[in-house]
Formats: sequence, structure tokens, C-alpha cells
Amino acid sequence: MVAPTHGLDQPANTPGAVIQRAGLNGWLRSQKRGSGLALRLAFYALIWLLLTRGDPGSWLWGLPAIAVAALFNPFEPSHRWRLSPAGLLRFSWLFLQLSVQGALDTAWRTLNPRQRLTPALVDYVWRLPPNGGRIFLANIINLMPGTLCVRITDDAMTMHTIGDSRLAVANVSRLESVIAGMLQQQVDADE
Amino acid sequence: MNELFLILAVVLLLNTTVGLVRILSGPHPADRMLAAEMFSTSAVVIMLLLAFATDRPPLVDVALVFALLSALAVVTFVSRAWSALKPTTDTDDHDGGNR
Amino acid sequence: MTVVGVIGAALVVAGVPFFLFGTLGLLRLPDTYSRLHALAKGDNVGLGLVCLGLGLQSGSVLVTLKLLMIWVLMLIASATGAGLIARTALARGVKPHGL
Repeated sequence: MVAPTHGLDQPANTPGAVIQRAGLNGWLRSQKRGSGLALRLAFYALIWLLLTRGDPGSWLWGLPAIAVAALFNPFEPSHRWRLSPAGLLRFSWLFLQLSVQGALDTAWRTLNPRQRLTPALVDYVWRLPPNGGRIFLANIINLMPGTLCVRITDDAMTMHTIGDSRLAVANVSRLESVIAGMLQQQVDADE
Repeated sequence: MNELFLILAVVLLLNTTVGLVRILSGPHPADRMLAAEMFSTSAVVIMLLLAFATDRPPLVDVALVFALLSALAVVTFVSRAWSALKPTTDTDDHDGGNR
Repeated sequence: MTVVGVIGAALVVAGVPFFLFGTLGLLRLPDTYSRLHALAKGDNVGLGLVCLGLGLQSGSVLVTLKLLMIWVLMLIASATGAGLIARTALARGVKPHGL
């Protein structure tokens, strides 16, 4: 396992290191540049609205809390998030479809595990680039029909499948294309 | 309607009680953790049903805390508790709770 | 009783069997991996249906969104948790049944 290292010539991007190098003002500026201070503010405000069920009095505490939380960028400032809204919708729809299918499929197999359970280990070679949603795909397939990710390597992931493993691979492949579309990344065409 | 939600909450409570069997029988530590994870999902649902059945909205926040804790529980188990246990050697899964 | 309320109640009722199947899978399936399959998939669809149903019952957009937030949190928790347990189990030599 290779830990993600910042190269020797490239200084670390932890808040402490950046403050030492550029001062507090510089750090604040780098936070704003990151992935959109305005976006984070809006997102945290929405969460606050939901948590407090729209109680107007709560904003007295909420606004400072949101402002402070939004100043801290949880991602590396150089990392750009490009999320396509249409891709997100397409992904959500496929996710809902496959989840229901997966739940019904496993329930059906549970009723008669001796005959309907055909476990297999299948290697699935990544088409997504590294850093680009591989872990997301690996985790999300645990909720999809008949697949469970049991190992992740640099080139592939190993899936534990119950049921038709060819159908499972086809589903994962479809999901991978949709995730790539959502994160605006290039992958080879669906075979 | 409230009675219906209460009945469903009781059904789910009984369901988790049945799930206790897996905690007792194991055999792997992972199986016990699985049962615990099932409990946390059920706890969330029971809290939500009770919140609506008894008209107590704060219980929804309790459910939210349960949801947050369930993520922590699994991570803690995998990174701490499981690693401290002896490596698993047997593969037969039908030996019941001998450990 | 509005039409939306009836649909909501129906969704809640429809969600509960998924939990029962999850527990059945937890008890009946032969190894850790297949139990993970049964739990991760069933419980989350069940929770999703209950959350959506209760949201429709409440008739408030804010409450519905809050319930959906709890659902998404549980989705993240159980998808990540199932993956963590499965990967650690394989790395520690828990053999899948029938392979």
C-alpha cells in the first residue's frame, strides 16, 4: 500500500502548513479559492435549515456556526469538484432502480439459499481513473444487486457475487459509466 | 394511523430480538458486528416510527444521532476491536457459538 | 385522511418486510459475505421506504428532506461499513462459503 504522499518539492496542504507559509490571510484566501466558499455556505445553510426544521430563532446560533464551518475546506484547495447536475440525476435514478432490484433479489435468494445462492469471486478491472470515484463505486456496489466489494487494488477490484456474476458485472459497468458521467471523467465506452 | 406505526415499531423490535441469535452464535466477530449494524438500522426506523406515532419530533433527531453513530461503530470495530483479536483460521461456518 | 397520507402509510408498511428479510438472511445464509449482501441491500431499501412514507405522512417538505438526509447518512454508513467488513474479512482469511 502506498500512502498518498505530497512530493518533496510540493509542500503539504494542511491548514497548519499553509498558515505558516502564507500567514492567516493567505490561508483564508486559499480556502476561498478552493471548491467554492459560496457553495459550502449554501450547502451548510441547507443542512442547518433541515436540522432545525426552519426555526427562525435558531439562525442566531446557526449563522456563525455555518460561517466558521464553511471557512474550512475539507478538500485540498487544488482539488476541483466538477459535478454534472444531469449526471447526478441519472445516477440517482439508476441507484434507486438497482437498490430496489437488489433488495428484492437478495430477499428472493434468502428464501431458498441452498439452490439460489451461487457465490463467486469476480475481478473487475477499473475504467475510472485513479482518484476519480473508485472508492465511491466500490462502496456503492455493496448496495447493488448481488455484488459486494471484497478487495481493492490499483488495477481492479474483487467482487463477491451471489447469483449471475455476468449480470452483476454488466450492472457495475453501467454504474461506472454513469458515475464517470456524473464526475465528468472520461472512461472507455460500455461494452 | 398512530396505532399502525406503533404496531410496526413493535414488529421491528421483535425482529431485532430474533437477530440477537446471530450475536450469540457468531461464529466470526464480523458476524456479531453485522448483527449490531442491523440493530442500528432498526433503531433508526423504530425511532422514526415512534416520533410520528407519539407526535414527538425530537425523536427524529435521536434517529439522526443513531445514524451518525452507526458509521462510527463499524469503523471503530474494524480498525480497533477486530485487529486486536486473533486472526481467523477456521473457515467452517456451521460450528455455532463455540468461541 | 388524504390520498397522499394513505400512500405514505402504504410505503411505510411496504418498507417493514425488507427488515424481516434482512434478519432472515442474517440467520439463514451460510457465510459472512452473503449475510452482508442480505443486510446491506434489504435494510436500506426498507429504511428508504419508511422515510419516504413518513415524509409524505407529515405533509411537510422540510421534514421529508430531513428524513431523506437520515436515509442518505445511513446509506453512506452501511455501504462503507459493509465494504470495510467485507474487505477486512477477506484480508484476514475468512473464506467465502462454497469457493
